[in-house]
Amino acid sequence: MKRNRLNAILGLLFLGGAALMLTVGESPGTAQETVLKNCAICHGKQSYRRVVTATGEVADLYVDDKVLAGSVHHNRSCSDCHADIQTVPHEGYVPKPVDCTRCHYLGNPVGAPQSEGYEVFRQSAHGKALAAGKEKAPRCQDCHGSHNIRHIKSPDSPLSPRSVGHTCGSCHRDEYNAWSGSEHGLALVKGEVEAPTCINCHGEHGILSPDDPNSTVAHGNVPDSCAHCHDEKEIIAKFDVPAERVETFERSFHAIAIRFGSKVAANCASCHGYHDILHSSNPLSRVNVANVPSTCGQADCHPGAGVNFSIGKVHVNPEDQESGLVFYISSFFKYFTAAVIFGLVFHIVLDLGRRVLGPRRAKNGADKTEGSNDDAR
Amino acid sequence: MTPAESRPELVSVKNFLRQARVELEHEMRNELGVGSNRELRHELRASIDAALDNWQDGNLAAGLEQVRAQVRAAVLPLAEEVKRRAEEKREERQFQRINLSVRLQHGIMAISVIALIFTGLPLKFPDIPFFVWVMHFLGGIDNSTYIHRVAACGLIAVSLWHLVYIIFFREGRRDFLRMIPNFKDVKDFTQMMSFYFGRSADKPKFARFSYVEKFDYWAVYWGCIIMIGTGALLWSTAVTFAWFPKYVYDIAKEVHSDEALLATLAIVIWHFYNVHFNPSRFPGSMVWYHGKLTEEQMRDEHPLELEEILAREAAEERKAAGEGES
Repeated sequence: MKRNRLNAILGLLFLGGAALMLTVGESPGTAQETVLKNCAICHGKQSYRRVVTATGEVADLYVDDKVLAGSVHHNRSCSDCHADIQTVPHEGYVPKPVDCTRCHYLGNPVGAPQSEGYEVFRQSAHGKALAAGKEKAPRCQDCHGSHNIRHIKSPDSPLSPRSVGHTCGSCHRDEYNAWSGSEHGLALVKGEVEAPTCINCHGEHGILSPDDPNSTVAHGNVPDSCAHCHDEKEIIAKFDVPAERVETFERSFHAIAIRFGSKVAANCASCHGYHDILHSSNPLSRVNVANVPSTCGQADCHPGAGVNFSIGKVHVNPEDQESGLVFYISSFFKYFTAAVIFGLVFHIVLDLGRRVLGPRRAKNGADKTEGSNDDAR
Repeated sequence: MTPAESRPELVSVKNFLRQARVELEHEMRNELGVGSNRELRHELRASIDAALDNWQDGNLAAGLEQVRAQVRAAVLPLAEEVKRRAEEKREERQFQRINLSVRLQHGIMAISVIALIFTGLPLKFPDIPFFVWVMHFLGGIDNSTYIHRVAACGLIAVSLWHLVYIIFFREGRRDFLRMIPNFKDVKDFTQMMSFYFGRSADKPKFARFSYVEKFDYWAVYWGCIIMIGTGALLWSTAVTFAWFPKYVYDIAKEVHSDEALLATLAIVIWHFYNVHFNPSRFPGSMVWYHGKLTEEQMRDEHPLELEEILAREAAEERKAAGEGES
């Protein structure tokens, strides 16, 4: 009895504490309003769209509360992210870039979504550039958005399939232009959300330079990256993508040479291009029949490839009847080899058998032979 | 005082016997031609001892003669046996069946083909761990393709050498003509089958080349034409790609790869059985090195060739004798 009562008291105390904490947790709501008001005094003014900053640059320092209200951080105050700004106004002070890992670290207690993304980012080309102090290196907010930050799955996120190309393209302009006119880029415009954007091939937080052997677009890894879709039955069926492309490539000398360490043998991109990939029926495509000689005849590959060379399929599967003569030759050798080896093994087995069972058999055999001769007579 | 000392005549008999033993051994060794054969010397000594133990008192000369007769009877059969064996050994004739040129052709071809197989098959079976290991051991595709081309040069060189050999050398021409399959090979094969199935007591009598050797030769001959022909197309991509449609390259690649597998299996299964794992060859015939067969092997494997050689030699001898007389 005594014990139960104690438990009840403890439970009540706990509930009370929790309720208190909840109210404390909510209290920034009011604080947020005052901070927002204070900041909005300046940053809510339309004239702040063009401001000469302390570093002498002209910048857009206007913050639209509508944009802010739609973001995942709508109930955060300015100083939650801009934590280094302690005074208002802060003329002449150069604010530090916002550090998202203030909240978004593994095991954070404030309930911010956590992922290993930022750790992976540190090892990436972007992260290393940032650590090296490169001015233009991107931070989280450059891709994920800052005041307009949305949930990653939201169609309004700068990282949604439709926007991610544009987001990356804000720095990688030429690549974006090439990609947006490619088969992949156009498919996305047509609303095929499965179409690959930058991140499908290059990765996300862990993006590496193509020269890094661990990069998803390193010379030897390109086929694997393409295989994500081009060896995927559902995608092949849904978009009528040519089948067996990865399989046939993997049986080619190019693929095997790459597997055994070649740095120059062709991968998918060597022939099809990468950002500007086009369907082979497009006359601008590198793998259009008219362009095959020049594509195969690249200076590093097979210079001098002739017009004749473009006759015939490139991705050949010897086991497919469509491959014509190659199929028949392959089939012939299959049966021919089996027959020859069977014959040779048969001969060997007979020879061994004769050696093992030899004398007795021979004797019987000789008798038999005579017997059969008699019969014949 | 020992009994011998008490009877001086016995002491002298003992001395005599000891002396006689040494002298008899020396005498009989010369007479029977015992030589240095340990078995025979032991037998001789034992028989002399036995004969002397049987010594009967009596006439000294007659007694000694009796001992000699006993020793002869005991040792002579063995002495003859030993002599016969030694002579047999001396007389086992070696027939130089494969000449140096062909042996060198075989050697270079063997080295080339081994290198070609180890650098080629991993490209056909890149998933087999052993071949992956081989490729790593060789240092990757750049090294392996280089080795493959060097070895290909070896094979091409041997092929050209062989063509010169069978066209411009008398021995080569003669052997090439004997390599051509004929009806006897069919008969030999059927007889071999009935021998294997116990329906015939005798193996077929082979001439210079058995049907097995002819099969091996023509398999290699045809294999070289295919592999060198398609290999040249694959090697000189500058020419192939400039002039031919891609399917020519595809066909060359398919044929090169399939024929390579067939050749490898034939070598590993068939050729290795014939020269290594065949119980009468194990662990390996040395003919590739010295090119010789003993008379017994000749009689067993190439009796008609042996007959031919012996007949030719006899004819030559008769001719020489005839010339000597006239």
